[in-house]
Parts: sequence; structure tokens; C-alpha cells
Amino acid sequence: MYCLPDWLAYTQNSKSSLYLTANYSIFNAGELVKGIYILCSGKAKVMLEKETSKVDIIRLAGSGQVLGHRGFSEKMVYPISAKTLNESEIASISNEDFFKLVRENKDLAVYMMMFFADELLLSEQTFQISGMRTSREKVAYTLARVINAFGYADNTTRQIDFGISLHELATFAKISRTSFSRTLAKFIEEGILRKRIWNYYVADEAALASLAGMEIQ
Amino acid sequence: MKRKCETCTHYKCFINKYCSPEWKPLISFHKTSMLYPAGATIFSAGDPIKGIFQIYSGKIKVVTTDGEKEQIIRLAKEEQLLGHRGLGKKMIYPVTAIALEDSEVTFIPVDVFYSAVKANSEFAFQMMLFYADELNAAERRMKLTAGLKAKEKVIVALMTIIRAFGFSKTDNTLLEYTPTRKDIASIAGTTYETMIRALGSLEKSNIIVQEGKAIRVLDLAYLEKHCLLD
Repeated sequence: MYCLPDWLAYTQNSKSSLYLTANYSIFNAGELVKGIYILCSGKAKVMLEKETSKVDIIRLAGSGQVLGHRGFSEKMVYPISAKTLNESEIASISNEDFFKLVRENKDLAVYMMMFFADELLLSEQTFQISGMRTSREKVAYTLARVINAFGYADNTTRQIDFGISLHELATFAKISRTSFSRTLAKFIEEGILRKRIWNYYVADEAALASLAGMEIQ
Repeated sequence: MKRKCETCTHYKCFINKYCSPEWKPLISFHKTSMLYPAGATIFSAGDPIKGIFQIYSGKIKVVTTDGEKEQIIRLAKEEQLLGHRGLGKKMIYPVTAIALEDSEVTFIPVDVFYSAVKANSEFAFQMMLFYADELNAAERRMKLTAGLKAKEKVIVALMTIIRAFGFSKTDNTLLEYTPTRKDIASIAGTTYETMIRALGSLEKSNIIVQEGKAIRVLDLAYLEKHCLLD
């Protein structure tokens, strides 16, 4: 979308593809940044290890999304770790090629700048999740992030594609699993969500977005 | 007062460094300048983005608020950008910027800023890296908030002030600018009382001296060693 035709061919030749199993470490915090990754298919989680040896999931990524960009700083060291959630295909582009691409493709440079701007905003919202007052806000925010990362499993019925366990979702929301499940049940009662067998569907997207304090795309 | 990019001596400024000479007069044409007295709000969280601000002179704090609780997330001085956190899909400032002292701040309308970024690929590339650094800084803060003891948080706050504003040019152990004690607590993310106790403890250990409102650093090496933000 953002590269000139000549550079698309260049990227095609310089990128390498990897097929990874579920729960595979794509990169670990502390490792030197070797390049940038693009999730061609599958799902991944990005984790931040705290001083307290607690691990927080700070981002969920789905098909077409970028991974490893958080390492681009003066130190060129990954501050976070990334793992696949299911079988995934990942394309990697070396630092040198990526920087060349961004410098030579103005639209890509602008896109990457805006992408980082959004990431910064999301990161600070995630930080503020601990300051959110109610479990309802935390759960709504988590659901919005899941939908924005993975899309709906079915756009017509708005079936949520969780791709991650309830336990991990509760970790993301910074509440207990019991609280998370209880809030989901309340959302069903209030007509914000619907549940059929094991699947959850968004019944009132506007109400969910308003509770989450963010748009659902 | 009209500030012109083409004759500006702020050599660290991204526009000065990375925009082509042809673009500088064009930016100058659209750029406006405003004087803000200490305590004045430059933009508020929730306002729609109208443009990007750049500090010509003075000192600014960038804060997020949760109810009545204020957290300072950044300190900025001349040549630095403000309002960039609002660029993105939402186009709303997520934070508030307040002048810490009398400051002159220039303003570039958002469409002019975008055009400059699009036309100057090195500017766009450096802006991307700038955002990457900001993202890293935000997440380092996030990583630490939960695990640090009060004294460690206050050390991080002191190092944040030192890195943002440095030391006095005429007295190299005196902070160039000491924020109010309330602001230091907001940077540290502690209560006022806890921060006062932590400063007292650092003073007792001869790491700092409180000279009225100002703070003098006696043992910078100690602060650097114990600043867990790095």
C-alpha cells in the first residue's frame, strides 16, 4: 500500500518468511533488534516483564500487523517479548532494509510515524487501565483491543475472535479471571454481548466502545 | 513575534535539522508564536488536534489526569515538540501541556505539518524514531511504576528533571529548574508526603541538599546508579 512498485520487488527479495508453531518466542526482551516482523497470518501476544517478575500482556497482534518496532530506539534492544498464540507465518525484514525502505518511500515513512503515534497512545491507555475505576471499563477496553487486533471471526454476526485464553484476557485487563467472567455475564444481561455455546458476539458495539473509551474498527 | 525557521539557531529542532531549505520559509509563513505565562495551559486533553507545538523558550510539563490526580509524564524545554501524542487515528490531544515558567511556544497547523512530513522523507524517518523513543520511555515508566519503592521513584523523578533541564550554567550542582514539590510528587507518582519523606532521606544521606525551593545534587553518581529507569 505504501511502497513504490520498485521497492515492493526489493522487499519481496529481501524479506524472509518463517512458519512458527503456537507458543513460539519470536523475540525476547533484552535481545538486540535484528529487524522488524510482519504477521502474515496467525496471532501473537506482546509481553512486558515487570520488576516484580509479573508478566503483563500489553498488546495483541493479528494478521497484517507489525511486531518488533518497539525495539527501534537508541539502544536497539527489545524492551518486550513476543510469542505466537497459534500457528503463524511471519515475514522478517532486516534493520538495514527496513530503514532503507522507510527513507525511500515517503508514504511508508508517514504511515510508520502515524503507526507509532497510535502505538504510543494505546500504550498509555493500557497503562491507564490500572487507573480505570470499574471492572466493566477494564473488560470493555480489553474486548475492544481484542477486536481491533484480530477483527471479528464473523463480521455479520460480530463474533469475537478471542484467540487467547480467558485467563490471559483477565491478565490483560488486570483483574481476576472470576471478575472477568462475571463482567462478561453482566454484559450479556445488559444486551451488550450475546453468547451462543462457547462463542461471544457483540450485540451493542456503540455501548461497548463507549465503555471502553476507544473506537472499535 | 514571528519566528522564522530559515534563520533559526535552534539546531536540534527537527524542522531545522531535517526539512529542506525550500520548506523552511513555507513553514515559517504558516507558523504562529504565543507567549504563555507560568501556569498557562497550552492545550488540554480532549481538545481536537489543530497542530503541533514547538517550544521556542521556557519549560513545559505534559500531564495526564485521572479525576483530581495529576501525573507528569514528560518535561520539555526549548527546541522540543509538543502535541505529537495527539497525531494518529483519533486526532485528539490525550494529554495536557502547561507552562512551568513564562514560555514562548510556536504553533504549526496540522495540515502544514503533515505536508512537511510527506515532502521531507528524512523528517518523517526521524519523527518515526522520535515516536519509537517516546514509546520506549512510556513503557519503561509503565514497567517501573508497580515495582518501585517510594525512594526509588523519587530518584527517578530527580533524574527525569536533571535529564530534561540539566544543571545551572553558573552553579553546576544546582538544578537549572526545580519544579514545585507537588510537581516532583506528580513526576514520581507518589503522594506529596511520601515524596517529602524521600527527599528528606536523600538529604540525610548527603545525596542532595534542599536550599529553599531549589535542590542541589551532591552525589550525582549515586542518583545515576540508583535510577532504575535505565
